[in-house]
Amino acid sequence: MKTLRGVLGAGALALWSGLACAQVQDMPGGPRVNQLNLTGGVTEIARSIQWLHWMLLIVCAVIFIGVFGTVIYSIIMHRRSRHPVPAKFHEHLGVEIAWTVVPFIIVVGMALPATRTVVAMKDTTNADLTVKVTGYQWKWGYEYVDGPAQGVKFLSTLATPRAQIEGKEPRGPYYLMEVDQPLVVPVNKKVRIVLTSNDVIHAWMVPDFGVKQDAMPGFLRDTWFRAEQTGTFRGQCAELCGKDHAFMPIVVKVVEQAEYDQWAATQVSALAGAGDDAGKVWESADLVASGEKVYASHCVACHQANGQGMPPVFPALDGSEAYVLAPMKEQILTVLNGHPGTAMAAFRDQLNNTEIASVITYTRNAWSNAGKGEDPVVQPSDVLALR
Amino acid sequence: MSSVTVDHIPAGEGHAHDTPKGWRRWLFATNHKDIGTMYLVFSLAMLFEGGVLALLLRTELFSPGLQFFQPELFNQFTTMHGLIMIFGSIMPAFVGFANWMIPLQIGASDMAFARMNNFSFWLLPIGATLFTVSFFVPGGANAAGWTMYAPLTLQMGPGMDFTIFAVHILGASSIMGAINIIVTVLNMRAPGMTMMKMPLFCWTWLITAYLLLAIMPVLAAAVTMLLTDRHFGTAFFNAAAGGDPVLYQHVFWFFGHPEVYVMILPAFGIISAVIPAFSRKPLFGYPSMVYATAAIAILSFLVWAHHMFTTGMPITGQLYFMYATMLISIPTGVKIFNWVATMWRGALTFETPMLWGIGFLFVFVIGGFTGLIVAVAPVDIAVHDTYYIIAHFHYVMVAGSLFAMYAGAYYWLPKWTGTMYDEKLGKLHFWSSMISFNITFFPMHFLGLAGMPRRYADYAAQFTDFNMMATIGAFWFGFSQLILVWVVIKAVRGRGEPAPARPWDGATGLEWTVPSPAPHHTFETPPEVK
Amino acid sequence: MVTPEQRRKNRRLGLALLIMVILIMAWAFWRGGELL
Repeated sequence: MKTLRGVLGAGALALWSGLACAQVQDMPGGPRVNQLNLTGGVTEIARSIQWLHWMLLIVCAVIFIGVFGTVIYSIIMHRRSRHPVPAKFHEHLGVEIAWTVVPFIIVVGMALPATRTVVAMKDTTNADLTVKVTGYQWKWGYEYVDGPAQGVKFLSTLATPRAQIEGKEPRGPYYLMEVDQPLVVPVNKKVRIVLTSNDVIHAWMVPDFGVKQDAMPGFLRDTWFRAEQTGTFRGQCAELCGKDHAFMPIVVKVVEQAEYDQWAATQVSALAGAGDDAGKVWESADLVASGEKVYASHCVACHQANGQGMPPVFPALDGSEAYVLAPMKEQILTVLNGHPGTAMAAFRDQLNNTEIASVITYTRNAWSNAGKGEDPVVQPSDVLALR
Repeated sequence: MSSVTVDHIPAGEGHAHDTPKGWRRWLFATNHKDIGTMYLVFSLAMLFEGGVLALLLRTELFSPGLQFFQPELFNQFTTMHGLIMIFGSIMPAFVGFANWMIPLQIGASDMAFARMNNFSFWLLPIGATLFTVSFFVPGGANAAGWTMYAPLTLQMGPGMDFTIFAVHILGASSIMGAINIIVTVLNMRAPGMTMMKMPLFCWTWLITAYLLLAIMPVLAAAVTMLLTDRHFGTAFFNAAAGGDPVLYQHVFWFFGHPEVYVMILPAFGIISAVIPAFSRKPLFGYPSMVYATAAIAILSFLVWAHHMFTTGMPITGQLYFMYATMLISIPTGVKIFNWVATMWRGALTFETPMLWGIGFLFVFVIGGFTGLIVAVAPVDIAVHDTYYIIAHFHYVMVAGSLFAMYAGAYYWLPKWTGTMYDEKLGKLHFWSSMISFNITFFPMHFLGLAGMPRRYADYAAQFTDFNMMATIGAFWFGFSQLILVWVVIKAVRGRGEPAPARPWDGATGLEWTVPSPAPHHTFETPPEVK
Repeated sequence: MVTPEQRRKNRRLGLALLIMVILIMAWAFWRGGELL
């Protein structure tokens, strides 16, 4: 049934795409349509990589033409009909030494400029700005470690609506490579990216910067870039990390220093204002309303919009006797600490007390859960108590 | 090259049993030809099972968006496609060739351990069943990639445990097969057949067998550590408890890199038989071919972390692994040059085996060059985990290993079946595969350079055209392999010219001194090799 | 045919290789951590 719907969907999409197809443009800061080669990007490292690749490609192409020129010549001139008596030679020390030594020299020649670039890529010292990047299943978290935006932290989640992915709406121009909150950095400044992960290995990749670095749980890795142009640059997660590996892009907005300072100031004051007041007592309706938004960003991927999940891997929350309809303690603990050995992540560092209280309250009042079970309302103080 | 005189070929005397009939012949087989046949049939079946998985995932990738499969299922397809092709098809197929041809080529009556040989084979269907059945357990099959990185594998359901057990079983089979091959080649050569007179296929398999002995235990360790981390409270790869996910990668790739040479060295051996035969000229530089193979094998142990350039290695590590990896291109290049020099001023004809042999040269060199390109660490950092890597390894493994096996299959099919295969169908199989293969995988270089990551169920719209091309090519390539099935069935059924003992006038080697089809028992008395 | 002498030689070499395999497996477990 799903396949039939899939086929019909694909057919309809093909028709729609037939119209939309003509409209696929190069993505600014992202891939070009039918792009053939590496992008020179906006950093010196990206340009070095592009140069190295061209150099290697040309050398290999020349050798390829030499070797296959010989093979094709042989195929034509030494075919039996034309060359019926085969030669008998089967060794020649000089030639064998030559075709060992010459390739060796060529390889050494390739390694020299490559070494320079490796050294440059590894040098993360003297950064102007350091940002801590954390990989989550399935989004990125950014935290400014120094500079005017110090302390600012937020999550960056895919903004492409599910409807576009399922072919129910036409695809936008930044399909799969847009987020709700991009990383913002100043232009012409060396930005050091310190990477880690909250769960499994992810990888932070931005082709226009020439950057890719694995994000390892429990470890810090670093890399760096200096963007030489303003603009918005896009990348994707580059290490298989579970079901939504293809749906956690990276967007970096590079702005003039003045604009960056202004943005930083706004963020810092917003942070102070939107304090997570664990003492506040909320109305149930308000909790459910904001909880629904939290659910849509953080829970829907696995537990689904209808709360049915995909048992047994992603349990249903609708009618969940053990957690959602039970006293609040187990559900709060599970949301805070995750469920080791499963895909249920610990949200204690991703969501604050208010957000956790509201999303739990939402689940306890949504679908068929309304009016059933104990503790239909959870306050931020309840969450704080169990941290 | 060796010159060979044969004493006499015994006609079924001197053994204590008649050839059993029916299912017992196969279940209790100890004959290297029968076991070789079973390995080859099994791997052909696995080629199609792995191929179906590839076509399923390419169907999803035909256009952007999720049309047919959710990402969880898609990742199962990509993972199991890799595992089944590597462990179920390519590796067993080469063991099949080894079983059939090594005793014939060295003048031995059978493999050293004939009963263990039987066990080695029958473990395979058990492993394959575990792989297949894992799709149907709760949570489905392993979806963490054929590389099974921790800690993602620690989140997988019971299908992962099925995979771990299958890998253990298939690994055990490989180890036993490797022991068998080493002992056979070292101890059971006919008098006069010195090591440096052996066909290169025997050399490449001897070296491959040592590689297998060294690496399969390491893989067993790696997946056992996954198993205990998953179920028995260990924390090898769990950072929160003092472990390290990168440890898994080191252990896995210490196996994984030599593994890819396990999958290509026997192919080199086959090509080293086919090209001289159809050039009617001896293999150029036989000693260097032996040394180059040994050099490649030794070097293969020293380069594993080029799969880990983005893990955050210190700079000395990046540089060392880059240099060591680039170095492997030297002995590999030497082999290519030697094959070309074999053809040079020969008397070439282009029957199907030679087509595959020359085709191999062409596409394997492309794969080799992209390998050299990604050996350069900065470039690898740009294309790691993208479609460029997928393009690279399919060029060397499909166009390399698989095409070389097709060359060997067509070359030796008359010996195996006693019938000349259908040359027209063979040529059709070749051209159809060659063209569709390139249509499928060449565009993937562009996709990778443009930044399309691998193991993605969905992609940005700018990548659409090349993905469509790849899907169309994949279906064409997949269906082309049915031609081979037809060719094999026809030959097995005897629908073709009866094959003489030596159907290829340029072929040399002991296998061509026995009748076609090869009698059930050959070289009961060792031949004299001068 | 395979003579008893031949069988003995084969068995000895096979055993040596098997021991090599077991040693490597042990090495992989115990020294694995030092590969970092």
